[in-house]
Amino acid sequence: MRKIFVLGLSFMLMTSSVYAAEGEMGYFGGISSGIKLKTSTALAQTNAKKVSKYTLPYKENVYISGKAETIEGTIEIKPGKDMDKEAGVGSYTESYVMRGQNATNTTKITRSITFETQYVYDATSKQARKVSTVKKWNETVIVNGTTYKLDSDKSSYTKSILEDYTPGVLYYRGDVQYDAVYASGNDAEITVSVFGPIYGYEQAFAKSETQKRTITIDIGDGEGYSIEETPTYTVHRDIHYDKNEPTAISMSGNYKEIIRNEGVLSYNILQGSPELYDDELSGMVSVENTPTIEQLSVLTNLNLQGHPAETQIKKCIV
Amino acid sequence: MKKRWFIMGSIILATSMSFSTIASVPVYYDQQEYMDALYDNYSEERGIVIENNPQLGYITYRNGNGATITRNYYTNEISVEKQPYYETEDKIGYLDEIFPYFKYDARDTTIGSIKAGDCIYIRMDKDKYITYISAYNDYMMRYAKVNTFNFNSDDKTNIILEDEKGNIYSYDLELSTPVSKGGVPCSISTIKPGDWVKVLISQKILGEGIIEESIEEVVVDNDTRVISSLYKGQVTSIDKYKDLLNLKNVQSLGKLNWGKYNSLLRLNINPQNIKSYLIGNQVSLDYISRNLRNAEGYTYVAAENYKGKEYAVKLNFQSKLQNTLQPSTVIYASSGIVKLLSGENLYVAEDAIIVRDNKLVESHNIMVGDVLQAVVTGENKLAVGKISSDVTTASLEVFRGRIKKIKDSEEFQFETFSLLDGHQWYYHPTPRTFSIDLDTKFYNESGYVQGGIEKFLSYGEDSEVGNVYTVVAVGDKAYMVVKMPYVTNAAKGQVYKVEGNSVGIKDVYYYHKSQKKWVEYSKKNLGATINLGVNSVVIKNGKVIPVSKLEKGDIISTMISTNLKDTAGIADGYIIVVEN
Repeated sequence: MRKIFVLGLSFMLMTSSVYAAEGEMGYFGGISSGIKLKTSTALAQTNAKKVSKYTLPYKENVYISGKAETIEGTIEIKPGKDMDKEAGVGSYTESYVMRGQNATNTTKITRSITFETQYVYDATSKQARKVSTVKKWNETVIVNGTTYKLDSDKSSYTKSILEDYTPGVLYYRGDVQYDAVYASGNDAEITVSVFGPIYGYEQAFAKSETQKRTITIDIGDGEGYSIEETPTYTVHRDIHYDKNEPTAISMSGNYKEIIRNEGVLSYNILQGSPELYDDELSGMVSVENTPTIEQLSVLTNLNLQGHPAETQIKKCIV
Repeated sequence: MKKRWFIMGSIILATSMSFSTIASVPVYYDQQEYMDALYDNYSEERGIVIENNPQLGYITYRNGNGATITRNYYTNEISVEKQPYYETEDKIGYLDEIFPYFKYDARDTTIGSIKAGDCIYIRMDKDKYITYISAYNDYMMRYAKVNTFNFNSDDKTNIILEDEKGNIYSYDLELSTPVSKGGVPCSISTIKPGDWVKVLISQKILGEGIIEESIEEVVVDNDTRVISSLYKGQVTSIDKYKDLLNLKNVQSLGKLNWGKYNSLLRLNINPQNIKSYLIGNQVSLDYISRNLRNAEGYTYVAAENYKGKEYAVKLNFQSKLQNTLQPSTVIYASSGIVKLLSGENLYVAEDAIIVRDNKLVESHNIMVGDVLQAVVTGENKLAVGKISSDVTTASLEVFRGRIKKIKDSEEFQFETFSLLDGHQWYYHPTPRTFSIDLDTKFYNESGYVQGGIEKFLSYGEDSEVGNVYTVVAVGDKAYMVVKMPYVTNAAKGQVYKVEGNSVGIKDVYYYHKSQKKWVEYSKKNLGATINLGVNSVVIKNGKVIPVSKLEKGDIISTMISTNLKDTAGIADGYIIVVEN
């Protein structure tokens, strides 16, 4: 009975990754802590409602002034409906809303972008191709008192992703290229051009995504900046054992599962504002979330104490 | 008649065909080659090279069945292609062999580049002579920390890497290996012990269990994992859910001694990588959680700045007995013992936290001549050692002169110049030329000049010819061009306070110009205040730094506008050099 229960639970864990894993950080060089993996207790619920909107802590670097200004705020993700693997083709709408400001409130960002993503899923090769086009893109950036508003007619965005569903793990790779043209009121125009790959994987125990972005900012009159940045996030399950102290308790200890998530952005300014000192040219920023702790059931009828492989056997069965 | 012309013509055609202008690739097949291709007289094989000898014209390889085969080739006629590791794809494929193709093909190379361990695909003619070889290598990436890096006498260097799991790898690194840091190519000497590097390794499998590895490219981490602080305190708890180490009564190690007390410090830890020692023996985090919390002794912590947070990477638990020695030069260093100029003999073991150039290094990295700030426990055991670099100005030099001529955006010339050496300006009656570019920073009394290089002209109403400037230069390249007053008074002291743009110094000496010696400023050690302007230059460790980076304990030598005695200890400082 217990064996069936344990087997069923592990099976549920294996098929837990269901929806599009990409884009939990947005595609603008910001980082979030990633959407937490579900605890096994949550996965076991039968009438779970699908969450349609996620709000995560968010940080992004704004380079329009030639320096790295870190803004902190939130990102709201609406990933849209799941891919229909039976039908093999279809489309869905995904939207991202980012809001944030820096510590001194001199730099602010408000951005809202909606994509229409079409996909084709090939059941024989178990690969999916996705192409996204922008439906709506509004953005306002305030840097040191100057407001830059996005000109969505002049701006362009293209994103496409290839997903490979291997047994147990989903791997994906995508490419992003966009030109964001901002008007700053007094006829000045700034173009931010970005291109780069997106790599990621998702499985029952961990998921991670890394983007490598090459940014070129053209502020007109032959002046501009050049930056490379790598945003990444990782969500993973950690498992460790804890002994129980009271003697009047039925179990000597049990395993706990800790789900941690963290996003890290590392940036390197290759050509920035000439006033920058050498140590301001590169750095790292991180976003962390509080861990989720879950107790795992304990098997009390195993007699393995002292066996050299005791830890591994117990972890397997749990 | 016609037949003769026909024969003549075909002979001429045939002979002209054999003098092909491109030695490696035949443009058209001749009759013999065409017949061979038609009747499939070419054969192909794959294998791994064991030995290649271009001078004698043979290659030995192991083929797919495991047999070792030796084949010959004509060194002048063989056609070789090898995929370089930096090419993402083979854009031309076989097109340049079948059809006339004259554009650059990055894969084309010579037979000399085929080395033992390369995986090859060969094509042979009917006599089993190799006519074409296509080769590739398997590449993989390793991320590891440099343990030691030695330059040997000839053009090979030896590097020993240790990865996160503790595996040790030793490689011979050619001097011509591409090295980059922060996206910028740099020289191989940029690699220092303690640096984290990513290396591209080509693995050559020469036989069962015989693998040879060589490094193709090195990418040095852009100062991401540097030791930002050394702390002394006591552990209160380890939060294993958030992976945090909580400390109390914490002090940070400054230039000369431990700094201000903090009642709480929370550092992140990575339980897989952290190393903890209790009086010489390595212990686990669970042991610390149980037995060393709130214990009597001191915990010394090396904290690394990573991902924008501080991570504790090495913990050293010692007894409460500690003595922070003044920085002193190492006169003898061998395994386990270090002798200082001040007379102490220090015993160094695995648990010592040794930091050089803000990187955690092993005990064998302490060398004779280093200036070591040591924190010792009872029995003169080294708990924490900080090796400070003796670099003050390094390659930076400060000049002052009157501009004679300027070549727009390229260079300018001083008629005669003065070079600042310590506290004196030494006059040189010769001209000096400095080159300038977009990276050169221009400052005047109002601060940084935007687009300074465009405004630095020798004509027009803002002509700079005849104006006097102070230049901070590296060799002949001007790093900063600053308009500042001529300052000849000098003062020395130790920083005890940095507030905005003014620096408080103590133990002050000023240079008495007529007596030509340094005179103590105040018997009561009142100290002096040096105010810095927007056109002041602060040099530390060979770099120009903002005022905020001056720290307590820095010993500075400064050129000031007035004599300290005349202005009651307050002066405007224009050039500050940190001397320790």
